[in-house]
Amino acid sequence: MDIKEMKDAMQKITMPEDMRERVIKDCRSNAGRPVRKYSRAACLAMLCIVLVACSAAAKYVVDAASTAEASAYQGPASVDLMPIDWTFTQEDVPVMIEKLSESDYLAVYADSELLLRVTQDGTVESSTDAGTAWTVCETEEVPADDFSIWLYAHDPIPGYSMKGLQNRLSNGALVKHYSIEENTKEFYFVFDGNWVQIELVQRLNIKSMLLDGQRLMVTSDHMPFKVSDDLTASFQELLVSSGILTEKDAKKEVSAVIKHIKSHA
Amino acid sequence: MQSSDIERVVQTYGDMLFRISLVMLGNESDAEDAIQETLLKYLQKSLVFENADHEKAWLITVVTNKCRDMLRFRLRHPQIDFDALKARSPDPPDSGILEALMTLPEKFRTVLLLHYVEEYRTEDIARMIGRSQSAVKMRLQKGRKLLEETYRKEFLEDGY
Repeated sequence: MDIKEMKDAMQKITMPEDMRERVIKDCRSNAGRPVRKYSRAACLAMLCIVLVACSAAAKYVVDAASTAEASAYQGPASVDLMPIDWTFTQEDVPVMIEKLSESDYLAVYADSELLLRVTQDGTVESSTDAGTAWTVCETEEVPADDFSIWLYAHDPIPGYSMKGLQNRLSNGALVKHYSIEENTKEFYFVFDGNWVQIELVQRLNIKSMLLDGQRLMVTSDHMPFKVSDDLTASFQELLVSSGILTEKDAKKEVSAVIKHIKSHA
Repeated sequence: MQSSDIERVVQTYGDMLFRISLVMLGNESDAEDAIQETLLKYLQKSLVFENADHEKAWLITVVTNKCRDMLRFRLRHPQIDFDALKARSPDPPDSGILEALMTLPEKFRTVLLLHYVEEYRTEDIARMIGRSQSAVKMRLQKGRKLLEETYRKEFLEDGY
């Protein structure tokens, strides 16, 4: 075997011209987004205004701004706030996402302490007693531009397209924020048309399961990835009690996902 | 970064980014997504680099992270398109070595590519992919061994 042969062949591989043109064109069109019209100082000023106006979102703004000021080289984005996740897209779990869209809810979430669901009219409800009683959560609206900046700094793109989400934000998606337990657990709800995408923020990694209009996401509290049988049962029950799936289908769909994770983790 | 710089970055590093993402992800469509996300991040973060090497290393780090995100969080295993790799090489070898490379697990493909094709030292690769130098050396050693075994078994014995 001749490594040099591999090297020579690989070094001759070039990016296709049509791809090169598409990439340049897309980047230029993104460069024209409103947020890029402002200088860094203007962005900083804008972020400071948000600091006053939106206390919960402000801490992220400060993080992003202080990072920008500390060093010209910002390096890779921080993923410290993001969950350890395993994500399944619409192509992976078509039944779950289709049935969700036909149900009374836009999204459901479960962890060991909390159940959460988003109704079709955008109301966020939570339960801390396994779904016996539900209360309406007090969410606050976050400017989409600020959330867009925050995403670039903190989001590791867990199984979705950053470009897609940024496009939705620039096209007027509504962003709501909800935090509990002294901000250790936070949710950003991105409402866009007839569905919602939830961005989870976990300062301390926890096990959770989430189904929204974009994906099914399972999170672990550490690597290697672990799934919890109790959580799986709780999420299954949430799907059933919310009228998204029948008991039989919920068991079948969730089991397939968990089986996949266990065999590949 | 100015949008006018995009053309320079794509012209200078586009081929390298394409090679890395194609080898990691195995098909052109996913590779394009990874490159797009990488450049978008570059564009949005207004970075200033110490020199060209710093810039290149940053791009490699980000594109390998993007590719790993795409691999890690997808239920479907990416389809390895052997033809795509060969089609993009103007003078592909008949020996089957590119096919052998693409049958290896991603972690070996990546370090083999960065070391033998992009000619980075193990300590540089360690920094880029966030692993220890000894881990990179192990992957290189094992990757090379696996490549030889696969090449011999799959391609030489099959009369390639």
